[in-house]
Amino acid sequence: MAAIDQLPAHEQEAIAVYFDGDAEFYRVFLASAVQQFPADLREGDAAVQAGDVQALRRAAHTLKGVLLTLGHADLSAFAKTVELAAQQAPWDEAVAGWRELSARLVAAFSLA
Amino acid sequence: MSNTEMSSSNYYTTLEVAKILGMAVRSVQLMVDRGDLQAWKTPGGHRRITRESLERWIQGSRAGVTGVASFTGHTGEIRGPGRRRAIVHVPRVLLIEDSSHFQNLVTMLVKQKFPAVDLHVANDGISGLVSFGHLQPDLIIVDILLPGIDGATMITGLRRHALFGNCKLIVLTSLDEDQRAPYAFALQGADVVHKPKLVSELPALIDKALGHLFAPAVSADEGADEALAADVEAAEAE
Repeated sequence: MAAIDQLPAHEQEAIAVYFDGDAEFYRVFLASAVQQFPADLREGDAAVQAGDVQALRRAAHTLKGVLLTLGHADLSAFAKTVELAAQQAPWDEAVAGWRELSARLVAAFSLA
Repeated sequence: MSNTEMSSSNYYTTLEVAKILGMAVRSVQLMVDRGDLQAWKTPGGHRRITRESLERWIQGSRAGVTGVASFTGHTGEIRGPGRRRAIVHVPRVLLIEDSSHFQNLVTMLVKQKFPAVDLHVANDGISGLVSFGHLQPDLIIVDILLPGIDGATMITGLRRHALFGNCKLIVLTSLDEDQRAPYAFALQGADVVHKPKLVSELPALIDKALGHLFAPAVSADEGADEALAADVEAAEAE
């Protein structure tokens, strides 16, 4: 297991700010989150397919919270824009935002 | 600790709905007959009420939990034939949260910090209400944004119930401050945890809510004395 000072800066910051310095607790939560992300993406995709605005909002909202907790502040902020788009913007804009968010999530966590 | 996910079935029995709404079974049957609730009947003639219609009715009345089962005391005592056995109250917590991520995080945290707590998880507002009636928890931890009945509406209903005074409440949310205005009516006076701060803030709030229920440590000698006294008492009764 990597020492804290060898972890990426955003992870070090998340451990310090959100996990009371408990790197092991962070690591376990990160592992569970990475396992869950594909299901999150499927939920969001299903919401898009169904034209379900509220479900798309919840999918983006969930990602916003977990991404910030894991230290991915930029990605979390983008998830918030998708969440707001699902509430306020034209549907096409929300869908485009969701697709962009999905692609960024896959890249950030090396999801297959 | 058990971690029970309540059913998210699309149908409820008449009895289940009666418990959720705090009504007599007959009243619920009449609601079905009047068309207030939608239902179908099994080949045996039992009503199965749709979750959607129940949800709609509760949201319409905004009084959805006025009749949940009454709370029992925190500790009790069973008197068997000649044997007295104290019941140790296990603090019971109900988490109502739809995100698997935060279900995991809260579960991990509770297991680590409060191993004596009996934690149950419900995935949405309706399952949460059912669980609330069944479990009579000491503490509920509620997410604001939930599918179906949202957490804010549920909290408002719960607060109007006199018996809810026995239950503590902690609200979880991923909403930033600028997004919370529509839910201010539910958040007023509640302990609110922004989800990213959950690990650092939730344990202290759980401790504040349940601290009085955590049994003080019993020394080995005291424990042995109590066990011996109980055995003597039981033997004398036989």
